[in-house]
Amino acid sequence: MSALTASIAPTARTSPRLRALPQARTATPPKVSYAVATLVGIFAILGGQLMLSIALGNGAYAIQDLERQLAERHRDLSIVSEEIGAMQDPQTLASLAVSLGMVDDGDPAYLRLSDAQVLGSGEPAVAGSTTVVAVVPGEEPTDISAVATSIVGQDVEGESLSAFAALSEDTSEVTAGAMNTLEGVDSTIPVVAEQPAPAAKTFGGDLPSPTTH
Amino acid sequence: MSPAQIASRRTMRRMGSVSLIVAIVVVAFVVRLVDIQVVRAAELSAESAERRSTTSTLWAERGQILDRTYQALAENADRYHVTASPRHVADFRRAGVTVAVMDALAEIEAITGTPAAEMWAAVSADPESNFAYLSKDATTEQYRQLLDLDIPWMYFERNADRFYPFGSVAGNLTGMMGADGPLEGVELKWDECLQASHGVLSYQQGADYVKLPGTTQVTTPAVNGGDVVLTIDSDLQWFVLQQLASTGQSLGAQSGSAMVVEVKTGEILASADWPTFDPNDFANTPQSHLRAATFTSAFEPGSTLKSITMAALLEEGLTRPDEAFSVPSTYGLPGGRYIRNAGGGAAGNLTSTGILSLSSNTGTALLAERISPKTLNRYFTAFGFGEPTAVDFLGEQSGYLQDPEKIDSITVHTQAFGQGMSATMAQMAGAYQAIANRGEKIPLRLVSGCQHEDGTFDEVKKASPTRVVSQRTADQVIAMLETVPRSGTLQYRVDVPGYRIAAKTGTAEIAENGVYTDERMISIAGMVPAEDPQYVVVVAFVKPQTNRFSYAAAPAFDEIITHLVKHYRVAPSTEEPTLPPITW
Repeated sequence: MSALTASIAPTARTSPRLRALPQARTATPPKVSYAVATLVGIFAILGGQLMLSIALGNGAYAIQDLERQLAERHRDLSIVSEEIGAMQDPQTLASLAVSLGMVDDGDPAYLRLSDAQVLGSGEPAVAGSTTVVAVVPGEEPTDISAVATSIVGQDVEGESLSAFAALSEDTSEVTAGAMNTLEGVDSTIPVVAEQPAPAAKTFGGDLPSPTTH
Repeated sequence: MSPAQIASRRTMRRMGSVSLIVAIVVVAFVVRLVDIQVVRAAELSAESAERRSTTSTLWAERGQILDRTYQALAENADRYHVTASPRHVADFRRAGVTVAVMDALAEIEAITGTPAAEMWAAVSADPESNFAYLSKDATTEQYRQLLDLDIPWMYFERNADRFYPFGSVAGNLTGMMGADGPLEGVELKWDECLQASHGVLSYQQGADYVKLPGTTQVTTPAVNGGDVVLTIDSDLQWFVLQQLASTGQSLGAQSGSAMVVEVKTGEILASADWPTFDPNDFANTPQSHLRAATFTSAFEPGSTLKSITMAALLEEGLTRPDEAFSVPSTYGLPGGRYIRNAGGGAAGNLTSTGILSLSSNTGTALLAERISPKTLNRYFTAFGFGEPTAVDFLGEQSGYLQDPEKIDSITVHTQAFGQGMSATMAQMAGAYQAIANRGEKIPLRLVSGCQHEDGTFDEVKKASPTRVVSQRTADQVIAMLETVPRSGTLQYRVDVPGYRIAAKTGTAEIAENGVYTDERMISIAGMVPAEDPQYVVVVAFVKPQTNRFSYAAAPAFDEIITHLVKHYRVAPSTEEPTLPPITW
C-alpha cells in the first residue's frame, strides 16, 4: 500500500464529519463548432484526395490525347517527307522542267569583257533538244502530270505555281502565255556592238575568273 | 411454466441462433479478409499488376543513306498492313445504318486497291481464325482514310518500310531492303551503321486502355540507326545515268556503266549502271540488273589500258612521246596468230604519241617488247589493277592479272593493250585518277562515313596517296591523251568548245566460253580540263549492236564532260597546248 493511503486512513477514523458537497457544476454541452471543424477537416481531406485523384486521372487522359496528337503529327511528317523526297527526285524535276519547255543549255559559253569575245560555242540551246529517257527496262518515264497535279493541288501561300497549272494533264504540253517576253529587262542590257562577236574556239588572253552562283 | 416464460425462452433461443449465424458469417468474412489481405496479398497484388501491365514497342528508325549534299537516297516510310479477325467479321452498324461485309470490303478496296474478292477469300479461308491479312503496305494517307471507315473488325499492323525517293537514280549503289533485311549494296555493307534497335515501353493501363499515371517505364531504350553519307552527287548521278540510257539505247547495247571521280580527292561523284532498277519496286527485275557493275563486273578493258602501259614505258625511260616508229599493220604471235589494228590508220609512220592516239595494237605490242612482264605487272598493280579498290563495295571484283613469272606467250603481248587481263570500271577510273593527279594515286572513296544520331561522325579512314609515276611522266601521258580528241580516235567526236580534254578509247573483244566473239565492249576514259585535271570520266557499253567502234561511246562521254564543266563551274582553258606530234 502506498504512503498516501496510509496517511489518510487514521484521519478518517478520528474525525468523521458530514459536510455538504459543493453544488455539482452542470456539465456544459460539447461545443458544436469543434465537431463541425473536425467534420469539415475530414471532408476537406477526402475532397482534396478526390480532387487530386481526378486531376491525376485527367492528366492521364491529357497525356493520352497529346501522345495521340504526336503520333498524328508524325504521320503528317511521314506523308510530307515522302512527298518532298519524291519531288526532289532529279528524274521528276527534269521531266517537269522539260514538260515546261526548258532545255539543257548545251555547250557552255563565256563572254570575255576585255574584248567582248565569246569563249566557247556561244550556240543557243535548241528548243525541244532535251528529252528524259527511262532507265529501268519496261518502265515509262516519270508520270509528271501526276506530280504536277499533286503540286498544283497544294495550297501554297504567296507562291504562284501557275506554270504548273498550265500543264495540261493529258498531253503534258505547256500553254504558258507570256513566258517569252521579258518586259522591262531589255532596257538594262547595255548595247555593246551591233553585230554579236564571233564565237571563238581559240584560246589566249586573260580570262576574268568567272564567279557564278 | 407460464406462457410468458415459454415465450421469453423462445425469444432467447431465436436471438441465440441469429447471433450464432451472424457470428459465423462475420468469422467467414474475417477469415476471407485475412486470406486476401494478408495471406495471399503479395500473390494477388502481383496478378492484378500483371493484368494492368502491358508493353508497347518504341519504334527506332533505320538510318538514311545520304548523298554528298545530304539529300536522302534511302529513307523510311510508314506503311500499314490491314488485318482482320475473321471470327468477328460480320455486318455491323455505323451511324445507325447497317453495313454489309462486302460493302465494307468494297470501301477498303476503293482506298487500298486490293480487290474485295481477294480480301473476302482471305477472310473466308478460315472463318474461325482470329487473324488474316486484308491488304498490305497501305500508305499513311490510306491508313487515315481506312480509320475513318470505322470498321470494328479491321485492325492495323505498322510496318516500317524503306523508301528510296530518287528511285532508280542510285539504286545500284544503295541496294535495297527485303522483307528480312538488307539485300544489296550500301544497305547490306553498311548495315552495322544503319540498323536501328527498337525499344520496349512498359506501363499499366486502366479498363479503358489509358495509361495509369506514374507507371510508364522505358524497359529498353530505342536506338536509331546512323546515316551513311556517300560521296555521290545525285544530280550528276542522274545525268550520267540518262546519258548511259540514251546512248546505250541508240547503240542497241546490252548494258552500260560510267563513273566520275574527283581527281584531287579520289571521291566518286557518280557511279551509274544502265539498265538499272528501282529499289522501291524490284520484285520483277532480273538479277543481272540488281548490282553495281562498275564494281562487281570485271571485263577485259581493251585499249584504255594502253595509257597505263605508256606511263610505265615513259617512267622506265623506254620511250619518248615523240619517238618515231614504223608501225606494221600486223604483229606476229607464236602459233601462227597475229595482232592487227581496228583501222588502217593505226599503222605507218607514227610516234609513240601516235600509237596511243590512234590506238595502234601493233605499235603497242612493239613498244611493250621493251618492258619485262614483271615490270609491267608492277606498274599495273601500282595503278590498282588486280585488287579491289579502297571502296570495298559489296561483292567487288579484283579483276585478273596473269602472274608475270608464268605468263603465256600470247598474253605477254596482248596485256599491254588490255586483252588477257581483266579490270573493273572502278579500277580503270582509279588508274586514270592517278594519271590525272600528276602521278599520285588517291584511293577511291564512295562512303564518307557514318553520321550517328548523337551527332558524331565516324569518317571512313582516308587511305594515304601513293606516287605511281613521276609528275613528268603523268604530264607526258596527259599531253599524249590530249591528242586523241584533236587528231586521234575521238577527232570530231568529243569537243567541248573552250575546254581541253584528254581521253582514250577502248574496244575489247568479249570472250565467251574461252573464245573471242564478234561482240565488243567499247569504252572511253578521260579527264577534264587537261591543263589541270579536275574530273576523271570512264564510260563503257557492253555489246553495242549498231556501232561496235569505241568512238560510238563518245556521245555519252562528251555529254558527261560538258555537263561536268557546267555543273561544277570549271573555268574554260586559257592557253593552247603544245602537243607532241602523232606522225613523222
